[in-house]
Amino acid sequence: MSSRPLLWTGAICVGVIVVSALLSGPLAPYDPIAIAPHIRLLGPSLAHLLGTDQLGRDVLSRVLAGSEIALNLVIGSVAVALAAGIILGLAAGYGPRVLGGAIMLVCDSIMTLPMMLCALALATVIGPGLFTVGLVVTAFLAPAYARIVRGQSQVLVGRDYVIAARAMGAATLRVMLRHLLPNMAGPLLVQVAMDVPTVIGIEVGMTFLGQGAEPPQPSWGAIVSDGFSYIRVAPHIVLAGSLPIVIATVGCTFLAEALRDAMDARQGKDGLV
Amino acid sequence: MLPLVLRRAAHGVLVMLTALGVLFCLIAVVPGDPASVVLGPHATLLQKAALRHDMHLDQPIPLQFAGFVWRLLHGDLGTDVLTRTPVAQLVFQALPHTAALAASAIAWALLIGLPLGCWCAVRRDGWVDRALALASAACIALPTSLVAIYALLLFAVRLHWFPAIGAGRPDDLPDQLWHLALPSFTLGVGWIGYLCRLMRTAMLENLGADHVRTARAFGVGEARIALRFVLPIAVVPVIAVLGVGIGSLLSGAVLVEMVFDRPGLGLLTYDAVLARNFPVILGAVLVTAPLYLFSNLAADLLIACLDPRVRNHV
Repeated sequence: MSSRPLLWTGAICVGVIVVSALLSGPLAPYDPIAIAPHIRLLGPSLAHLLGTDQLGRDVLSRVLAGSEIALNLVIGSVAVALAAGIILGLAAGYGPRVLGGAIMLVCDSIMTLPMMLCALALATVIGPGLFTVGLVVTAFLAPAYARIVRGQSQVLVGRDYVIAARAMGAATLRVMLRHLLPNMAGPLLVQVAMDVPTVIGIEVGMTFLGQGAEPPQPSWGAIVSDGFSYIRVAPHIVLAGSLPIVIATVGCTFLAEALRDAMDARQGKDGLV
Repeated sequence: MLPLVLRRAAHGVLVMLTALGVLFCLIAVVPGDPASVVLGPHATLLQKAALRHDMHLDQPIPLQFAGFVWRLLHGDLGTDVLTRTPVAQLVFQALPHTAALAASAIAWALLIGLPLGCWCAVRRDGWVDRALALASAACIALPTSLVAIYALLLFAVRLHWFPAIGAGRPDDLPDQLWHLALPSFTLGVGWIGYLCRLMRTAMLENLGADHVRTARAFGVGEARIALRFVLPIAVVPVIAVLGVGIGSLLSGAVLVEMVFDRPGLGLLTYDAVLARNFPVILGAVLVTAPLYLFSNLAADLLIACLDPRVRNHV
């Protein structure tokens, strides 16, 4: 444990968040959206470990339910972005040059747009909500994955085992699925771990601007932005809401750094990672 | 040098046009109609049709896009639907504030992140290096909105070191800078961590290079090696990242402006979102495209000045 502090800290942080998300139902002491006006803005106590918010809702229950929302949002948007990125990246790296150039041009151009402003623009057209947040995040993450997949496949295509497989008449799809994808899983995983804080940050930001999670959804962003309005009388709400955000984002970044270090050590100065 | 500049500028214009096209398609494809958004739920069909005509939404999509680019080239970003002022005017009033915020955030990142990164590389695996590895990862990870809230609460509300909100009196430069310090540091925190990591990696790569070994063999001092032979090359990836980082910088600026109640593109957009003032929102997004083109080109030029390999490899 002492030899790899980054890896273990990251793994424990992510583990805590995932477990609390999966067990948010059984673990939560109260209904996260049940309003109880007579106990509003209470500080932490034995009955309410993290206190109550401006509507008397139990903050601990809301934080736990928020982990579930965050986990769903992260997995949903990253999975779709990853699928789109892999397909586009393989097409760009393995397909004709013109197609590859066009795909990369579109990917580059999406990455130049400011995500927050585009998210606000789309939220006005489609309407606010976590779906809009997920849509924007997916659209902005996919190009980064496509870029990695293309770069990796261009390197891997020249490897002996890929040339051998093709010489033995392996179909393009088989080469891609059997030889290319498994060998680029590492860099993709690092990027995914780096992107989790981005997804959470956009949710918090959008909800703070009133365009993300809608009441009474107890997302972390909603808890923080509710708490921000009552900061003078009940500072515990903001503290309780930001704690899981800090744990999740810092944990994922530590994990990403540890993964990258491990792969650098394994592959040396190969230029592959 | 000139061919390089022209080529990079052409590429930048192509990327910018594609970005506009993607944005345009996205808005055309997603469910929802900008005209209905502007008019609200009680508008009649006739009003909607009239506004759709005003906003050129009744034309075929390719024609809409052509007209959109054409008006853009003439500096016409559309009209604010509430006050009937040109969007370009609103946006260009807000832009200097946001540009100052972004530029000073980068200044913080360069002033703090680069020296720390160099220190980490020169004293590799020392305790400072290990501590900064953790600290910079945390800086990168934390969402800007959270950092902004806590910076406001701690340094402005509790400690009273900095003013909490606003941009300062318009004709008083020291006052404006005073108001800028905390928001720009907040925006720059993530970049400080990022540049520190980037600089460390780049310095380490170059410290093992052949020309450094040669310099060492000739008895050049370590400090002179780091400053004269390594730093100018190691700083190249930093400049490249800053050149393309303007998009994420502006994303963060929106939130920082919201929390610190500073005038700028972010606050303009936020007010427009609340008022469902779609043309203003679109205008704010559009004006970032030339900003990106400019910063990217500036970064390319700077890199070409620093690195002769780039300059001669055209």
